Amino acid sequence: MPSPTDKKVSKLTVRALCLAALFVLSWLEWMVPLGVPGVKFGFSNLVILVFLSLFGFWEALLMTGLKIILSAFLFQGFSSFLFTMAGSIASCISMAMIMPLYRKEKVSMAGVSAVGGFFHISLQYLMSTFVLKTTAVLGLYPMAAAVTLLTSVIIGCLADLLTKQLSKLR
Amino acid sequence: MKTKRFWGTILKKGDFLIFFLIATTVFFSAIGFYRAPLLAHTVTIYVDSQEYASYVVSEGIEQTVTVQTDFGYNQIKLQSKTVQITESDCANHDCIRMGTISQAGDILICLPHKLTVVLEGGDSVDAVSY
Repeated sequence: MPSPTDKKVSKLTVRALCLAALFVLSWLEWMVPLGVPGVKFGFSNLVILVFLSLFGFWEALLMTGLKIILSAFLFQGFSSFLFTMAGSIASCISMAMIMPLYRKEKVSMAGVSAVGGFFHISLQYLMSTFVLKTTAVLGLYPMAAAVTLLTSVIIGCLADLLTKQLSKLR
Repeated sequence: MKTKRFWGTILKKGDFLIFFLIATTVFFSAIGFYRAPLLAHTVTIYVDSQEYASYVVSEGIEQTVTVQTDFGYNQIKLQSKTVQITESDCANHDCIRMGTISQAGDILICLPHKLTVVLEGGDSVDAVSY
């Protein structure tokens, strides 16, 4: 029977590992060229998804927040990351809202991921139009959203597989 | 094939609904953006390939710009979202016949006066050409 301290420590470790993974992945995301500005492969979404399914909304939101803060330190381009950050939070919230459907077996991770990715990129573009005060950027949105759909489905499927494996461990 | 079974086990009905909704949104936004004029934010007037003047496009502000150079005289009218050449002492008046421009990338040219009026948009001009 694990003692309370054990549980606390293991929780901390899991969170720390997760955060480290997020950190690395968000760096990796920027390395992958996908053609459309603002569109990344969403690897960090993979972690968030798994976290959402295993630990629930508030934990996942915490992780997202921490990831954003860390990314701000890493990338040093705070203003340009304002939009991405908004996108990340929106994505996390929207995915959390879809999760109950996932619990009921009506959608798989692919759907959750698609929703998350969609909200992420949509909010990112919306924010950038407000901050930059130009609607010209929106010209790229359709392509960006389409690509995001594709990538997020892939990520979602991977997340699905991962979650199944991980839930066996627990 | 192995691939089909793979997708089959993962994807569920709700997924396709989500994909459909997203795809529809993308589709309509694509139509919306590619039909609507690309918003321009600067009107730049070039004389003999040199920048003569530059104006920021603003709603509700009307301006009349007079370009008097060695090459000739043109009067350009800037209205909130359109630009047109209203007067010119060139021979053909082709520039006036060009009418109004409103989209980013559109131009008005008066050849004998070596005058070019360009509407420059926020993003790269070829945002539409994929």
